[in-house]
Amino acid sequence: MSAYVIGNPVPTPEELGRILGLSSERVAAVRSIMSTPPSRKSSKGASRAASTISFRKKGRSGTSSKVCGKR
Amino acid sequence: MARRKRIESVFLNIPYDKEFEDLYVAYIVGLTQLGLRVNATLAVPNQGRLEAIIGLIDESNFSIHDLSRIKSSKGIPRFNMPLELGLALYRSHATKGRHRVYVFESKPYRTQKSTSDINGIDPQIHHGTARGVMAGLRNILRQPGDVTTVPEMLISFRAVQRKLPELRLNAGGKSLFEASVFHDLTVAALVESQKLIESRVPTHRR
Repeated sequence: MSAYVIGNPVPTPEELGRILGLSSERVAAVRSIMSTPPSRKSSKGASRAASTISFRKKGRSGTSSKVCGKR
Repeated sequence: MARRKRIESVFLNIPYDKEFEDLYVAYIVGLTQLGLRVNATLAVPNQGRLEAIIGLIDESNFSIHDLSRIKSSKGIPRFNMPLELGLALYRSHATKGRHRVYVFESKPYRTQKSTSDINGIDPQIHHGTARGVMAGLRNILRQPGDVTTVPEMLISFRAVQRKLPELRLNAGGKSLFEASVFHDLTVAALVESQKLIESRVPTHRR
């Protein structure tokens, strides 16, 4: 089976954002997140990461969310 | 003036659960980096859901169906993914193969037993890994010039993965499977893709 060659070049984040109806500010915010180095080393970053992990664990053991209920 | 490009799109039929999160991100990063718009049922409301799903399949050039997790959950088999595969297969039949259908599985030969009606379709086996997903995607799809490699896609996957907590907070979503987070993940994947493309150009001076 030969691979299908996609007919368009890879879009830029801004081009995809426009297609998806996202504001330019939102695309810029994602760009900014992806451009900043991970903040694990700082104490503030560590506590934020820890809170996120605890949130994820809670979500895993809790009742299924709206989305997960679908499948 | 900004020109709107036409972008080919793929209907992504995967399970939405915590255990599948890594592969979900791998699919989004891989497909987006190959230049595709990803259509998923994440934003589809329950009312009129089937019609909306049919509409999404109709507007997609391809569909990818991951059958690795159709086994029963809490004693109930998961029929949504095979159901959507069936809809896509009919779409492919109706369009004389213009809508392409690809199947992914984690274990070899399992679809021959679970879904023997599709024995003519060779599934891509990902072994439950992001690398397997990327390799499967590269087997079936490529960019003109064939530039994106599996190791590059994995670098981007890991970069997006590291930023998941921030991306989720930014989108205001509790789960990665919410539409707002999903959209931001696709944009994040393209930001990483752009970094790769720029890194390939040895000297770019203005």
